[in-house]
Amino acid sequence: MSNVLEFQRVSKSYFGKEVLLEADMTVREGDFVFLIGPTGIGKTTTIRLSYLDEKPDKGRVIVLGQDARGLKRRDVQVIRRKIGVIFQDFKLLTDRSVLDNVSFGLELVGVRSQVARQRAEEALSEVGLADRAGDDVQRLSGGEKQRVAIARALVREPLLLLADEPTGNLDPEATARVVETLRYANEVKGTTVLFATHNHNLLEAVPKARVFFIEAGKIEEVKR
Amino acid sequence: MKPILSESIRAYRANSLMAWFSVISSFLLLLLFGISSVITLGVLGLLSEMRKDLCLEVFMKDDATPAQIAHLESVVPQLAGVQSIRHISKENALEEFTQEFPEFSEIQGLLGEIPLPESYRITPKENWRSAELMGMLAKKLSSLPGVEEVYYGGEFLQGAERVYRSVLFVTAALFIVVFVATTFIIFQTLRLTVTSRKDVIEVGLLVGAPIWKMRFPFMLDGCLYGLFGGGFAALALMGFAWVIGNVLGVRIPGLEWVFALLPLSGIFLGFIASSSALSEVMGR
Repeated sequence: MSNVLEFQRVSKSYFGKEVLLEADMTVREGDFVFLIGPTGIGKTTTIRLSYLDEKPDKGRVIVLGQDARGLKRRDVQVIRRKIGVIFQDFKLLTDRSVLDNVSFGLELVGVRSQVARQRAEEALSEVGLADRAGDDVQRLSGGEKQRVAIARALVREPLLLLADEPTGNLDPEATARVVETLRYANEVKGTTVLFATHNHNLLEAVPKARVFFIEAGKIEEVKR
Repeated sequence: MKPILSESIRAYRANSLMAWFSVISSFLLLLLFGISSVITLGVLGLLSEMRKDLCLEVFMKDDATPAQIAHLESVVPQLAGVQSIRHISKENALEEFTQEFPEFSEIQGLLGEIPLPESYRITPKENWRSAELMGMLAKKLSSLPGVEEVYYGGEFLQGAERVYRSVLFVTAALFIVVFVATTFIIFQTLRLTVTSRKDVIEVGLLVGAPIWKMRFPFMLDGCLYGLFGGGFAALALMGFAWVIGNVLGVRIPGLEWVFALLPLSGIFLGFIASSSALSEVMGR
C-alpha cells in the first residue's frame, strides 16, 4: 500500500512558538488514523499542513505523492480535489439547502449540475440524510450538519479524508454517528481517514484504527 | 458557468445597497468626466475650425520697390511652414473690403484713391497652424524688406489655444480623480462583498475549485458595476448631446468615442477594483 500522507521531520512554529518539532508521520492508503492530543497541541496545524493550507518551516510534507514545497497555488487546488476536509464548525454555506451544500463542491470542479445533484443525493443517503436534502442547513442539528459536511467531503470520492475535531461540538449520540459514518467510508469505500480529536473515548469505536499521539511537537504512533 | 453566475448574483444580493451606491457613484463620476470630455472636444472642434481659415496677411509699405516685392515673392514660398502665397492687389483688397462692409462701398469715390495697402496672403502648412509657429513665421516675414506689418490674429489664437489647454488640463485632472474615486468606491464595495462571501470562497478553495472560478463571480460583479455606471453615463450624455444638437444646433465631432469610452472605462475600472479587492481578501 502506498503512502497517502507523509510528514518527514516537519517543524512548524507560530510567532516563535514551536508547534511541531521534527515530527514524523506516515498515513498509508486505506488507513483509519486517529491523531490524539489535547487542545492547542498542534492537531489543527497537522491537518492544515496536510491539506496544504500551510507550508512547513522545515522538513517535508508529502501529500498524495506531491511534496508541498514549491507547489504553486494552482497545483495545490488540483491536489485538494482528491482530499476531503471536515471541521468542528462544519463550514457549511448557511444560505443554501442541504443538497446545494453537497453538490456545490462538485459543480465548482466542473461536474455538470444535474450529475452533481444526483451524486449529492447519493452521498446524503449514505450519511442518512436523504430526507433532509431540501432543508435549509440552519434547521439541522449539530450532528446533522456534520454529516452534511461529511457528505460534501465524500461526494468527491477523496483519496484522503481529513477531520479536524469533527465531534468537538456534538453530543455523544451525534458523535457516535459521525464516527460510524467515517468508519463506514473507510471500511466500505476505502477512503483513508485522518481523524484529529482530543477525545480518547472515540478510539474504541474503530478498533482497527492506527493511533498517533501528538505531544511536545512530536507525533508518535502508539501500538494498540 | 451556472455556479459562477449564480454566485455572482448571490454576491450582488449580499451587498445590493452598496452595489447600487457603486453604480450610482460611478455613473455620476463618469458622467462628469464625459461632460468634461464633450467640452474638450467642443473647444478642440472650434479650434480646428478656426485653424482651417488661418493665414498671415503681409502688408507692404506704400513705397515698397519692385525689387523688394520680387524678393519677397521669391523668398516666401521657400520658407519652412509656408503652404501657399497669394498676392492681394489694392483692387482685390477693396473688393473684399466692400463685400464684407457694403456700407463703405463709396470709400474710393470719397477719397479718390484706394486707401488699402497691397498685401500677400500666406497660408501656413497645417502642422504650422499654431500661435507659436505662426508667430515665428510672422517674425521672419516682418524682417523682409518692404514689409510694413504682418497680421495673423496672434493674440486671439493664443487665447483660444490657452482655453483649449486649460480645458484639456481640467479633463485630464478629472480623469485621474474619476479613475481613483470610481476604483476606490467599487473596490470598497467588492471588498465588503468578498468578505461577506468569504465562507463560499473558503469552501471553494477547500474542494479544490480552480482559483479563477472563485475570483470570476466577484470580477464579474465589479465589471458590471462599472459597466452600468459607465453605460448610464453614456446614455445621459447622449441625451445631453441630443439636446445641444437639436435645440442649440451645436454638433460636436468625436462624441461617439466618448459614448464608447464611458462604458469601457467603467468595465476597466471595475476590473481593476475587483482584482485589487480579491487580492486583498483572498491573497494573490
